[in-house]
Amino acid sequence: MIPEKIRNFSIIAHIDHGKTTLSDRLLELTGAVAKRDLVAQALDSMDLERERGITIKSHAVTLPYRARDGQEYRLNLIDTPGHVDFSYEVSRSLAACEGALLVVDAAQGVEAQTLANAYLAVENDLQIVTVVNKIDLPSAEPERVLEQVEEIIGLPAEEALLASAKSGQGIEEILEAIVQRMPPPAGDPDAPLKAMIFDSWYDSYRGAYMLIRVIDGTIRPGQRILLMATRGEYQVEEVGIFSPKQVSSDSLSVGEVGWVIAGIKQVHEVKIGDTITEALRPASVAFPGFQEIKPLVFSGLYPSDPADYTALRDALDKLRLNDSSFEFEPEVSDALGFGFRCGFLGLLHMEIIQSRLEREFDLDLVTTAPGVPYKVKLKKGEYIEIHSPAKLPPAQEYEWIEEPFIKATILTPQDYVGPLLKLLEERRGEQRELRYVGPGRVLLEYELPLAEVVTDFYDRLKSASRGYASYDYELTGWRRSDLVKLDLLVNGQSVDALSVIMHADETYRRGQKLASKLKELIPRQQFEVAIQAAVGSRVISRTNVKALRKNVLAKCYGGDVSRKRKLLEKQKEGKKRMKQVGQVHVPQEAFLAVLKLED
Amino acid sequence: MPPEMSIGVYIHVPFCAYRCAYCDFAVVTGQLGRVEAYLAAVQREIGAFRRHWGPQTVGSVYFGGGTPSLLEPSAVARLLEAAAGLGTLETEAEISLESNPDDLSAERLAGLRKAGVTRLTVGLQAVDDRRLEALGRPLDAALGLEALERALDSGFVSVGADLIFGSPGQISDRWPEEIDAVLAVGPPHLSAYALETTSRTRLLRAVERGALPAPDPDQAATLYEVTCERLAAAGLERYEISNFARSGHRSRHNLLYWQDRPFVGFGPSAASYFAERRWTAPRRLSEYLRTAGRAAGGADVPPCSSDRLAGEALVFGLRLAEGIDLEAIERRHGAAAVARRRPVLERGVEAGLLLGEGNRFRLSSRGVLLADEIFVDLL
Repeated sequence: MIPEKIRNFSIIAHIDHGKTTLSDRLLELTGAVAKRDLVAQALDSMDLERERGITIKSHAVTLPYRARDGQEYRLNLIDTPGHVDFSYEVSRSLAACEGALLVVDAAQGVEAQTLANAYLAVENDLQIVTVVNKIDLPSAEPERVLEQVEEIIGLPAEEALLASAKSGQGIEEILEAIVQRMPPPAGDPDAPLKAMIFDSWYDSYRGAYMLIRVIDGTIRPGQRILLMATRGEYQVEEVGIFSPKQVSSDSLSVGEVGWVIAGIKQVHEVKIGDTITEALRPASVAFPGFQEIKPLVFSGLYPSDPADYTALRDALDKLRLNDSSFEFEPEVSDALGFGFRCGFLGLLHMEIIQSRLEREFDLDLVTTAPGVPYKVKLKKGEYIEIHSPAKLPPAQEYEWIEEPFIKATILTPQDYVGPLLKLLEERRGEQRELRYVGPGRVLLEYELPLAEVVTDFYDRLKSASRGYASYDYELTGWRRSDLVKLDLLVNGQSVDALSVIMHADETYRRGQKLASKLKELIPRQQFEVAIQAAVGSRVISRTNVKALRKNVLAKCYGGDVSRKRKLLEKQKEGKKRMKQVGQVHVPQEAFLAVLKLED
Repeated sequence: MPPEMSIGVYIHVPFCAYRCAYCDFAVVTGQLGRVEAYLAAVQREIGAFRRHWGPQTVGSVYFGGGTPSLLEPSAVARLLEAAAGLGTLETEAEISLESNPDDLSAERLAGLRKAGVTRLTVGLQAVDDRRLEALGRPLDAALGLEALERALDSGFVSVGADLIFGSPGQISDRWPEEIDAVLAVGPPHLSAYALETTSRTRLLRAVERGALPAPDPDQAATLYEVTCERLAAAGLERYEISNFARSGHRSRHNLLYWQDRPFVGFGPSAASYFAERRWTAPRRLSEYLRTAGRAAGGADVPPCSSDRLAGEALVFGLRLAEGIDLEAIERRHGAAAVARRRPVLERGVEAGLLLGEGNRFRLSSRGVLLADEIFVDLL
């Protein structure tokens, strides 16, 4: 198909503003999917996606459309992940497009993700078509929402379209706007092949699938290709599109979007954002914007039953086959035994992996508190990156610690500004902007450490604003902070799984809280157990568990040995489930409770 | 086991006038109408046992409950006769019966003695009206002491009193007075049990509701120490964790449990240890009545492994003040099972919970209160 008849576009929206319903409607109206086959939300293929209403993987569907001008067009709808954890993937999907439909809920109005996504689209030079959706709702206020679109995002209200994806109202106008307003792809059909990979996944029969957008040239079966970032060379086996069924084609050329398989055995060999070119006639420069995606949230995953260690490793291997963005390496903890340190793109990503391990692989897991990576400047001169507090070198060996910072964008009704500012201050936030946008709405921009948002920030934000504030963030870089490692010691021995890196100002309060929580949870033993919270050699808080004085069953009634045996066995079972720290038996629940300790 | 070894017989009498708040035994209240059926069931059970295992020599019979003193002396006599039917009842056999003080009229006492009971234990549990109430026992402390006195005057070979300490709300300072009140009456045997809340009894539920204060294990430890001191001063020697006696008054039957010797139980929930087998009768009275005597107790039970029995011999033997002789346990259950546990015993000695001398081990005074810390590793 000639580029003039192709339109590549994404749909971007805040969560629940109707992105998926609109996608489905477009599929239906263009005849790509018959109405009767359209089980709600055709594009979200993972169970989890459908359950949570969040798109996790990208998709691309080619829609044939005969426009009012009588011409046949091919509309490539590139669906983007709807969560900040996957913002790099979102940016690559957007980079594959020339236009974007910005969907705004006619009742909810502009939210933080609307704004963040709109900015991303602008950064990628996309032609934005604003769609005010759900205008059939009784609570719809399209006028107010249009004002917000102008005021907050800076897009002209008069160009916006009003629609209801649910009823089908205004859908044709949207299709027409895509054709009329969005530019066709530009590119050189005769130049060496240049195609950008914006998603990949693993198929156990065919190996790695790549979802690509052709920038220049043509890709066809038999061709020798080179992945420019990884320098891997392969031979193309098959190419095609999704309609939405998978269909093979002879080639994909300038502006086209589709899938490629090239005998790539492992999905790790394919990096999202990488450029495919011809091995024999490589392009001189790659498509811009490629980055190695690195995990931002780390946590330890341990099997509850140590016997499941191998099963957990196999399950992680299998999941990684299909998801190159998460990492794991073996880790041994005194407290929790053998497990893995795993890196994720964010909290949702972590939750997805954990839930898949539990559901698909039937594993019972113990998860340590999520943490962020830290960069440590050693006195020897170099930097090291650590993913676990246990790996922090002794204080005398490093000069400083840097931690990842984010810029958080929050939109809230003005009534909740007070509690939100308080929350942001508590989380070491620095205000960058506080602006009234439209009647009664406030836009907040804060820089704050990622570590402060990975635990319960979102829940706290929602409760501070009765659910009205919306939030999005982007990573801004690394900053030096006054960070220290707080250790918990049981009878003088540090418990590795409970060490936390935190801001120096927080250690006293948190140290006391953690020590007293641990005291509650460690059962009394034959001797007194000292519990201390310490930073280096400085003890911040101490308490102790009194020695057990009595543990004996008084009576052995009527020689009922089996009853007494049962009671002793119950004690023994309890003891077995405990982990030994020095001489002290600590129940696994104690670790978990401390790890979960709310701030 | 050697055929000449005599056995003990335990007979569980499940009837009670009421259920005490701390009780989690197999007990029925207000069902004396089922006594006849019960007696017949025990007789069937004993008959089946004898037919399967052959005649036995019986060295002790112990009526436990429940409240055996609720039975008419004639019923006790019938049960004793049935027990004798197992084979030979030794002439010097110890015949113990547990009693509730309010059953102990002079007439009932005489009847029980005449029926053949030689040893009577009186379940005072507390000699303080407030504590009796907390334990859910509708009794009068003074009347209990009087009943104990009558029992002592009724010609039994031995009489014991049972006490429970560590009840909710117990005032530590008053406990010595309770002990002294009992000592003043002068039973030659005393059992003092710390209250246990391992199962969900009425008492534990009241604690959970907040209606009663939770028993404090530290207080129980202190009360236990006070008990030991007081009774030792009065000449009652502690021969087991919770049992104290003047010389010649130790319970011969209860010693069987701790000395790894055979006993056979009849009646609902009764436990047996015989021919290297352990088994327990059905707990529910109706099920017991339906099934008793269908098959001999233990007939379809496989023998326990010698490893298990060695562990139990150690755990129960260590409850005795005299402790255990490893050589004897080795002879009986094999060297491997004992060798495997020797490090645990040695660790116990190191931790100060055990005293060891060659092949003999016993609990230290600290170890008595922390015995289960070792026992869990010995099983």
